[in-house]
Amino acid sequence: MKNFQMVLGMVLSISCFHHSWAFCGFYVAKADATLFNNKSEVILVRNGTYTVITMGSDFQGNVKDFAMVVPVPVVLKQSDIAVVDRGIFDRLDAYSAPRLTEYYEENLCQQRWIEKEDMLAYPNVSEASSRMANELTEEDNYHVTIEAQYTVGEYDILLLSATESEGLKHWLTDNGYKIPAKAERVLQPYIKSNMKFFVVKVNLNEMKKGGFTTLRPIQIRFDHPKFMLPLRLGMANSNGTQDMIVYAFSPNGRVECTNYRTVKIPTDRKIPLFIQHDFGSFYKSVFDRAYEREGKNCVFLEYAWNVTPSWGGMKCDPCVGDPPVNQDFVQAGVNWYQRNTASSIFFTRLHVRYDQAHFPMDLQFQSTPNTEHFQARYIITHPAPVYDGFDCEWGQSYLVELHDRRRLEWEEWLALTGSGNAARYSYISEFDQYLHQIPPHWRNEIEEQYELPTLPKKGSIWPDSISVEWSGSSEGDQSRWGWLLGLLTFVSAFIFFSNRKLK
Amino acid sequence: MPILSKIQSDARYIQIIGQTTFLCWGILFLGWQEVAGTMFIALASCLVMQGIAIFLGWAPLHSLRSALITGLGLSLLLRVNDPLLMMAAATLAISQKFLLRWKGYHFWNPANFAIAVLVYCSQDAWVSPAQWGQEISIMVLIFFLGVIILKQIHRWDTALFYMTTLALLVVIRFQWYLGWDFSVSFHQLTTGSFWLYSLFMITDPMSTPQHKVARRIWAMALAGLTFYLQFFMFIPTAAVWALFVMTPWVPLINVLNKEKMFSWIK
Repeated sequence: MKNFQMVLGMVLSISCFHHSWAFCGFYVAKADATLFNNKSEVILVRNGTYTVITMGSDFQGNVKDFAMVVPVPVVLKQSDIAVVDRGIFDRLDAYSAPRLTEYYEENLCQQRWIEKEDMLAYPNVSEASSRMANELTEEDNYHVTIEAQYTVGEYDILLLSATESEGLKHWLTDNGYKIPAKAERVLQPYIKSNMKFFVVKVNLNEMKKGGFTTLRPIQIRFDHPKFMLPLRLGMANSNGTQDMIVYAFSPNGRVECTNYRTVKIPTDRKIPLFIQHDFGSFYKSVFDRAYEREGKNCVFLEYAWNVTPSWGGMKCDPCVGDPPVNQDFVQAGVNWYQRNTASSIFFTRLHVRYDQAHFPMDLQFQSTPNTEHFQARYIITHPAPVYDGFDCEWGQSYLVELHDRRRLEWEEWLALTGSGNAARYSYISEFDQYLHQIPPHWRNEIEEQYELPTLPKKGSIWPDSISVEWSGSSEGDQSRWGWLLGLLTFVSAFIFFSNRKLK
Repeated sequence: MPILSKIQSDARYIQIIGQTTFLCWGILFLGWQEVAGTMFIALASCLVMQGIAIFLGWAPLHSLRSALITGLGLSLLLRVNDPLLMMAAATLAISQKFLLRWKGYHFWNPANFAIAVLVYCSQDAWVSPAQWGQEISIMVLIFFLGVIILKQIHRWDTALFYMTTLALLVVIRFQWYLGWDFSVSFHQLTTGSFWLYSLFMITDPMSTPQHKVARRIWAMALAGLTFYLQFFMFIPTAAVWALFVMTPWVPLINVLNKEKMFSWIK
């Protein structure tokens, strides 16, 4: 087997030479943000206390019904509000989405050129969400002050401050904004915290003039120590869960949540080959399961990388989209890199699924100096081509390895998604027909119908995967037990030794 | 049971056992893989530094236990990009105990000092206040171990006054003044970080006032400062900075009260 691995290593390094990717695998599919229903996307830029928030809208209804109320910490000037191109979200999503990569193995019984498969498409799932509003007219006596009023791009924008939620609610309702029944209770705390309300609706004339057919993202910038995203208002009228993807940029390192745990999504797992046709729904199940397991009140890390244009290191491993360029950063609101090209830009992609029961507070963040790179990556391996069989000695031992590996991949798949399909079990024994002799340790396995393992469900203390300990696809997980044993031995020895010395 | 009576002879043993459990918990269930690599550096560096002090005759042999607690505390709280920084943290933590001294008292809790200095001065160290999440089981564990230790060293009042004051302030602000529902206050008061900090960090008898009344007032002032920094200055790691500001006053309070220094050994 050692021999095989060496040859495999060589084959892969040749493929690396042909393609300029640093990672020796091929990107085949990605699980992009469009997979999740009821999702919103936000670009968050933070440098010191300077914050830029770009809110992507996936509004599906009639644009004249579109309205948005966002609590903001300060009254924004017109120059603090911009409308940006929707493309930025698509580019950032494509670049940072969880990825599937593939390896090819070679049949060393008959060496021939490896033919590579084409890249595969991933499925799209449409999404829907809506917010409603009508016309706005000028009125007073609601204890509401219109701090500022602008038209930016196709949007009419108001900045309101209020002294009581009742008045604000009536003002909004009387001006045609449909406010959820329970919103009043949520408006009050924002008013008391001295927050202002950024109220947006579409100016149909401007939209017609500009020739836009879809709503473009709105960007706001301000200087305030508060580093948060208000969720509560959006949840006021919704009982279900909503997904949000946050693309965060900071000069130092990862952005993490400070009032909910930031958890890494399982990564670097070897999964069955058949996943390649359905990677999108596979990742969705991985996310669903991780969400359940971690107690439904976590923020998930899907990507974290240094994306500084001038930085020489590899930007992705492998790339599923073009790395963001200077123009993207300018559009996202990164303002420090243009002034000082020696500075750096760190990109964090967070995915949060929230609902009222598990997210009572708005999300708060901090920008940490954590520069550890992370990406959600899953690996499929194409078996060696059959050609005339695997009759040589290498071929026979390869088939045993293949069978065992595929069993681990299959179990990994079960553990990651939490929903197994026993019908797919034939995947493991697909190549057994070329074996001259069945190895004795398989006998039991074949005779007794393989049973789906019982999987830990909600709030399980067992991390990630039940099979990862065997398949060794995650080094960190595997070495964990060693570290723990070391720590326990160390501490027990210390207590024992310290006791004796003092007697 | 001889081992039990020995463990009871010094509260630091339970503290060591407790912190080791929390560390194991984090690595096993909360995905702190990166901590696994740096924890031995922290532990070994703390012990070596304390060993040097013992060799120089500045500290008794049993003070190695305190050094181990400092090492565990650093592993639990501090996150670094470079393992060398963990070594720096351990060196800072232990050496400040001996270099910055006044009338036999040191000014800061060693781990807290190192964390504050490194997070402020270096570009590669940080604290993740949400790393414990809202898991109820770990909080129960923290609570019971904390209570056992605090009972043994008669310092339960520090934690009680600190936690009650902070809880009251949070409820008054979020529930009563701002009008959020109770889940918001509850969420803030049930983070593992809050419990761990309250029961294991601020209660260090070496850096809290010895006089009972002074200690209680001090704990309440600490809670007030933490509250102000967190909710009015929007600093998520407020507890670290509040303790850093409050502990240097302790030697003065102790000297003014003419209190005897705390001793771990019964």
